[in-house]
Amino acid sequence: MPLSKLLPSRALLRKDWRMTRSLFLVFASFITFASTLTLAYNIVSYRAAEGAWLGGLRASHRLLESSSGFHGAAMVLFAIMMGVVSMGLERDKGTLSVLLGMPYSRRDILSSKAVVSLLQISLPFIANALLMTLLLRTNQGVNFPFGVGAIWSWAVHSVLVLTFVLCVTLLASTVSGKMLGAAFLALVILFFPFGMYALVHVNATQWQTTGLISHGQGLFWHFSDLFSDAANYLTVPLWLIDFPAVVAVNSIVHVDMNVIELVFANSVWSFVVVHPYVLYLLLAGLCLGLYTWAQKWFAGTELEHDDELLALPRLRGLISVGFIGCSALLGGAVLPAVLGETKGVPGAVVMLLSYASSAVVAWMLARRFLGDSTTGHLSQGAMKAKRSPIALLIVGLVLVIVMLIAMFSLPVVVSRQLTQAEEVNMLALADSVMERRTQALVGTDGAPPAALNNDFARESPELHKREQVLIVELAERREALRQRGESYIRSETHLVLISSRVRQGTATVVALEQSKLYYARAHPAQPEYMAWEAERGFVFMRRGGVWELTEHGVMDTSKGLPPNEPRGN
Amino acid sequence: MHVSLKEVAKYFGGHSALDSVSFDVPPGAVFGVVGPNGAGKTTLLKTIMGMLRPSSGSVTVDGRNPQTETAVRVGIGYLAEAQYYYLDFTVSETLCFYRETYPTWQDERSRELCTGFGLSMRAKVKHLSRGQRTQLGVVLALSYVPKLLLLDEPTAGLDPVMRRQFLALLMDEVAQHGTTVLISSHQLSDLERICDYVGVLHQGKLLDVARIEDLKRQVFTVQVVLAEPPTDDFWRQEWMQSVRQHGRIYTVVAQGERDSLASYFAAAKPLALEFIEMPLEDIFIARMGGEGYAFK
Repeated sequence: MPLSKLLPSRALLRKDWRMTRSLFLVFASFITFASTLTLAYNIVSYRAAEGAWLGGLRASHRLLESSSGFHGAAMVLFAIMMGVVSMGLERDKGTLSVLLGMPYSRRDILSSKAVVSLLQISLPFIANALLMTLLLRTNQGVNFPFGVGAIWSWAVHSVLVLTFVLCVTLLASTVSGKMLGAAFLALVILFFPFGMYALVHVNATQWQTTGLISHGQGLFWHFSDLFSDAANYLTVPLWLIDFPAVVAVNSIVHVDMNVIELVFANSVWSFVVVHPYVLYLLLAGLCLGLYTWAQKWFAGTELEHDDELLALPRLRGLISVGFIGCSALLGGAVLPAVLGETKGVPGAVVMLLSYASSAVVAWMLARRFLGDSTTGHLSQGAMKAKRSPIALLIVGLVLVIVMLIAMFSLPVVVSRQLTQAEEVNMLALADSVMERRTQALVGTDGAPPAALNNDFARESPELHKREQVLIVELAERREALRQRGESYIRSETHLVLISSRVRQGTATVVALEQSKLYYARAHPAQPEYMAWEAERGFVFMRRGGVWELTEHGVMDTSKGLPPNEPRGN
Repeated sequence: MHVSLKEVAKYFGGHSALDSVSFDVPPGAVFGVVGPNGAGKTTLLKTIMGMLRPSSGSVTVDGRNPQTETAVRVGIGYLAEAQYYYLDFTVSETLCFYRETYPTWQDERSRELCTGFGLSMRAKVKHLSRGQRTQLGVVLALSYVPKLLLLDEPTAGLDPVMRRQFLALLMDEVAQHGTTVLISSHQLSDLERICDYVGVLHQGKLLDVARIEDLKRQVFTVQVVLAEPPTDDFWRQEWMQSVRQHGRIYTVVAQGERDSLASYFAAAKPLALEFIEMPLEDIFIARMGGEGYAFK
């Protein structure tokens, strides 16, 4: 069979591309902002902080974190929108009937949409992976914590997972006569475990406030664990959203390996824990299966169901029950919190009344929006009259939310994280502060220490005053030790960055202090040095365009204070 | 193209949109479908087009099932009552999509038609008026020279000048290419001018299928002037659609052979008896009245 027969019609491909190209451009921009531009920004920051400690390069790994958390969720929403728009727009605008009147089979129509959507998902990742590879190659002096392999595995992984999301959405689109219905179904299928877990968890917490059950006990906690497991192991988007921070130092392939082990290691499927690509093959197979299923359903769906929310009548009851149940749980979580904490039996009554009232409201809404539609046999004019403006409002709201997510996620990438140069210099300043303290136990020239600063950060005057007092105290301790013959001759202090975050002009840098104090040994049997590690937090405030270190301290004092901490004696 | 329907029924849930509809349209014929709102005209055309799957019965176009054999649809043109287009496309992009879809597309003809209708190639479809969108539909339906044209209320939204032009184009199409046409319209005067056959659809059932000339030879307005009023039973005949009285003048809409009707009225010794040929619209109204269709 010639290839041209296997591929969808060129006319359909061009038409589908033309229809959805605006969404593609937004998606491509989003991916570019989250990956290549972030990498370029980090490289520029690195160059601005030339000569700084290489440990600060940790910031560069964030480009790969675009697959996690907020960005992952936004990417999934984009994939859902692509699937929903490609099919739902035709139904909503009535053009599907035009297509079905043309010499195209239903298979042609759906395959064209699948190919175009797949291209629109893949191209931004391929293009950005190419650009990032180029950036890595042309900046070989920069010590990136990831390689070309990690970038391409990020691209392949993202494309595969988003293709899965797309296939689920296409499947939902084949049984729904409206964009809204398809989006609703796809969201339910993909995010049900997350939502259910959150709802059960919040309800369990709410029951806890009544004092009737305590943490870890009762049916709710049992269900909470159950749904937590489901969300963790059975829902593919979680693999995007819940990527651990190990992405920073390992490639995504390793993360996938972890997922494989989590899912399959203790099951009869343990044989797949051979190679991470087995998971990719499984996912590709799953996508193919879903697509084939969508083709089958679309071929069997009657056109007369267009304009109905759910074209498959038998799904209506299930969706309605699910909607009512989830709404009741939502009411149980929200209403008692609004009404105020009530303990004991009255608290339980409030909870139960909240469930009941929310369920009734949801039942009424379900009747209104998910009820049996009879529009199938009405003329076009009558159908238009029946269309509810509320549905349009909901679609509009969803679009606005998605756009807001996209908009707010960009500042997160570009400005709400510390730049590499900032992070390097803040850590360097913190390092100097700690080194000064440890050095105070060894000995100083007697002159009061000057305030520390560099191009991006400085010690605040208040902190400097406090540090001066503490250094005097440390000097007194040094003298006391010297009189006992226990003086130190040398010190070493290094800070290793653990994390950093910015909130409204305040940056918190958490680092691990690794210090040593070398003894002035009288004979070889004595220990050479005393070493310790302590997790420290450093708080910087943005003042006058510079980050000012205003305070710092040991994060966990339960194991005692390190030697360079003042004890007030 | 030869269109054949055999015992076609179509149900939407419990609602019957078509009920045992059977008829044949010979190649090159123009077949008009008339019927009140909700009679099933659009469903009928969509079923012939292959867009809807009949619940029972069979539809064939040149002996092939248009629902399963999509290649048949290359020769079928469909102009829907509700004009759906890709609204963000320009006229040119819309034409391009159709050109790539239909191998028989004639570029020159589409340009001629667009010029004739005054449609700008660069105009976006969403900026066209309802009438202009109908004109675009006509351009699209005629430019790939279909062998079967299914027209669902094609002249709705066209001004009288454009309507006449469209009908002239349609007749030209039939004359030049022997196109078979199925057309549904509430403009019965138009149908009367162009159709060879007409089918009356009511509540999904096909009441009549006949040549227009035959239909006109079977339904008359009879004006009778009687010296003495006859008994009530005289007016209670199945073939009488309606009877109106003004003094001694009776106006009767009657269905049947002219000679037999004349002999029936002659029995009442009329002072005057006149048979008036009815326009299709009046025949339709009378027929629907007989089926109990009226605004209540």
